[in-house]
Amino acid sequence: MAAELGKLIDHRVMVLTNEGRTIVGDLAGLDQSINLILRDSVERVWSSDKGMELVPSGGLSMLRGDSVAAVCELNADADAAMDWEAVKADAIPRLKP
Amino acid sequence: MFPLSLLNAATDNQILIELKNGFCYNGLLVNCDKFMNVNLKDVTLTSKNGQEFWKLNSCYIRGATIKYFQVEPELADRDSAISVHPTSHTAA
Repeated sequence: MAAELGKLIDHRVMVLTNEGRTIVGDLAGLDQSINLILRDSVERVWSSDKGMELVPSGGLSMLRGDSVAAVCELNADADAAMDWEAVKADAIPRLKP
Repeated sequence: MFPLSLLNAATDNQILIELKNGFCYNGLLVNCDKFMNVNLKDVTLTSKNGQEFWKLNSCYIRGATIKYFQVEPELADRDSAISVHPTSHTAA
């Protein structure tokens, strides 16, 4: 199953964590437990009263697989075409176990 | 690049580890194992709310409690990070 995600290596991905955080980064590596290595990752913070904010997470980080809910391939063109700073949205709630 | 290879390549380097409880450990990586258990030294521990701080000479963190860790970007280029294959194991 991790082989499917292997196709996304060196692509820009969005990771949804169990806490409801959305993190965008270049997928540099992964393993069978879906521990992920992200390069140049940025967290997108959503709120219903102000637009999206970006919180950079540092050049090289590893996210432990048991905190990962979903890994999605980001369509770079579609993403660049959106004016995300103007988008207001409720924060994604924490995943219930 | 495999995550555990990257962790091994990070020994003797600064590492920032956030646990699932929100506490943040910043220190030098002394040792690690295949379960992601780590041993750090000269650690600054920050509470989840960012209001409380501790200085620890050394600490041991169980891998299963880790949410994420951050290392220096230059480590990605090290051969030890790129070429080591993980041995198969079951999670602890």
